[in-house]
Amino acid sequence: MNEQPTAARPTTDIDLLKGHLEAVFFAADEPLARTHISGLFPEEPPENLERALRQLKLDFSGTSRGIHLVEVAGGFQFRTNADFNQAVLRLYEVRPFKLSKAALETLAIVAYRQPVTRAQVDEIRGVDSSGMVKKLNELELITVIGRMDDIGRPNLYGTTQRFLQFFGLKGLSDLPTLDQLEIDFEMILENGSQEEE
Amino acid sequence: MATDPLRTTPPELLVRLDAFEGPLDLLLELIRKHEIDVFDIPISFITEEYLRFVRSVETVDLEIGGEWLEMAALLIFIKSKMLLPKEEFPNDEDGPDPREELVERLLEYQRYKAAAQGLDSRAMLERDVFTHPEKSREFTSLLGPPPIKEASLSDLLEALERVVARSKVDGRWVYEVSSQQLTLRSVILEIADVLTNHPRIRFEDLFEHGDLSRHRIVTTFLALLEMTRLKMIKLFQSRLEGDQLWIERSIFDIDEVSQLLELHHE
Repeated sequence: MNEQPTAARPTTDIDLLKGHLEAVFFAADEPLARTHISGLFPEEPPENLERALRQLKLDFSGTSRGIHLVEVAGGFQFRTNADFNQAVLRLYEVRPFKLSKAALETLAIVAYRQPVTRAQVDEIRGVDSSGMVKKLNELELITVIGRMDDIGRPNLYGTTQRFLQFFGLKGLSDLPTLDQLEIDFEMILENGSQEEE
Repeated sequence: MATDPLRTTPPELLVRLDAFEGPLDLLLELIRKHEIDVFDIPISFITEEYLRFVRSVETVDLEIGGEWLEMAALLIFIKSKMLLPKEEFPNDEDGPDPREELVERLLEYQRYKAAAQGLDSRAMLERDVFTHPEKSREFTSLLGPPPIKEASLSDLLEALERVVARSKVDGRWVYEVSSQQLTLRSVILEIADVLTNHPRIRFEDLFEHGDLSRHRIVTTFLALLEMTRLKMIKLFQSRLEGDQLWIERSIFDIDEVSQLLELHHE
């Protein structure tokens, strides 16, 4: 076979595989899990796939790239760089989607305390949360994942896959722990005790 | 404790009550502003500040939710307990602190407030980051045009009345004999056709072509009801433009559905 003399070094298998993966991620409508990806390339050795994924992720990262390859909800997905959100919003001619403080609080309680009943959420927030629970349920950020074995068998709520996608989380374990969050509060406590002599 | 508890709430705190998510939120803010040690809350000071705040809202004549009064009652209860002589507890210092439960609730609430802020600071979909638009229709549907109120049957009837009024000459119906066969199905297809090119139209737009016979108006009305029932369209009332009634297609390919409808009938 006659190789073209001027051709640059032929692409390696890894480069070719990266190209395949790039095409697949571009066309996918959901984050693609590793198992899903390896199913698409059954003849490819797992270590090659892993290497290609790692390199592709590196390629699609950094502050100047418009598109990032991110790990979210147990898969890989192309997403726009958050630094350029204003440009995309101008393109769509819309205001960004916003969750209210009340909705975020309710969501945080469900995320950390799941499975949790609405009454338990109310108790922590000290206000009625039925409207927020309903809204988050409609947005498919939370869902009923069971019934509590108690009087009235109240619904137990938990977060959804979409919740992970929404907040760019690999999984629930990707959330900072409450202990970590408590460190923030320690600082407030310290400010408080400074008052005392 | 209670070094200088008579400082008053700074004016910037005297804002609207609905700036706070609830009584716990307000208490935390008071604690933060006055740099109070949460484990040793000067309860009479904080009660006073809390009540002052709630009262200032009451004088503006706003309705206050029960939870605000409930917290006020709890604070007063704790305050009165604190005033009781301590002799009931033989071990002096080991008696239960009446503030303990409240402090725990405040701490727990504070944790989730921090968790909420943590979520908010993440790169959020449809706000900070976006995926392939065609592939994430379910997300982009959150955006859409500014919301308008969904129309009720009475809104529809009112809009109908306006068209009927227009159609009458000198308050009477114009009677006409038409050779045109107007069926419910043909009108549905007609409306579907218009909606294919215009996702959102005004109710009145359907009567622009001059045919304002009673038969046409009634059939159009029935067609809209039927299309609403089939979830092909949604009826909206504009908030901004008076009582304007809008018809919006609620399925993506209305043409395809109307074709299905045709097959179904023939």
